[in-house]
Amino acid sequence: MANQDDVDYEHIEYVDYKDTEFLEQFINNQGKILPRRVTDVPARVQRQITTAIKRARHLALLPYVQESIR
Amino acid sequence: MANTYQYELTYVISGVVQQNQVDDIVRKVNHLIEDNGGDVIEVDEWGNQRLAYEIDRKRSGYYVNMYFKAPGPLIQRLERELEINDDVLRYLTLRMDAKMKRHHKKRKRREAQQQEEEKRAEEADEDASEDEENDDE
Repeated sequence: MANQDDVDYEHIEYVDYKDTEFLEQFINNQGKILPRRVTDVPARVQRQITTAIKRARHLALLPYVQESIR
Repeated sequence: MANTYQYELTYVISGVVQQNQVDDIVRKVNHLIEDNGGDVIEVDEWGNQRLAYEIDRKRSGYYVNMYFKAPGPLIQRLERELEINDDVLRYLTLRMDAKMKRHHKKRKRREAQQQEEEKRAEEADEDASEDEENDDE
C-alpha cells in the first residue's frame, strides 16, 4: 500500500462508492478504514475515500465490521 | 417552478422478494419521478448480490442504481416512499455535482468501449469458426 508510486492518486477527481474493489484497498481485515499514515494518499483523496467507504457501508456493499475467522 | 438537479439513487430491495414484485417497486419509483416533473435518465439493475452484513435477517439484496433529473422537493417524497416500503432495505440519494457528472460520463464511455471490444472479439471468434468450417470443407 505505502510507496505505491505507480498509481496516480493526485489526479483522482471523484472516488465512487460503487467501486468496492478500489475501496477494499483502504480497509483492513476487520473492515476499518486505514489511516493516511498507512495509505499515503493525498489528504483530499483520503477524505473522499472515507466518505465513499461510509456510503458503501450503508448500502451493505462493504462491512462495518468483518468477523475475524477464529 | 423549483430548480431541477441531477441525482443518483441506489436502493436495495430485499433478496427474498419475488422478481415481479421487484419490477413493481422499480416501476413505482420511476413513475413517481416522472409524474412529478422529474426525468429518469438511466436505470441500472445490478441484480441480486450478497450483502456485506445481515439486514433484518436477510443476507442478499437486489441492487438498483439509477440516475434522474428532478426538482428538489421531490426527493423528500421519494425517500419517504422508500422508507415506508418494508421491502426496501437501504437507499442512498446523492445530488450530482460537476465532478460526479464528469465521473459518470467517463464511466459510461469506458463501459461503451468495453462492450464494443467484446462485440469485436465475438465477431472475430465467429470469423475464426467460419474459417474453421471452411477448412473442414
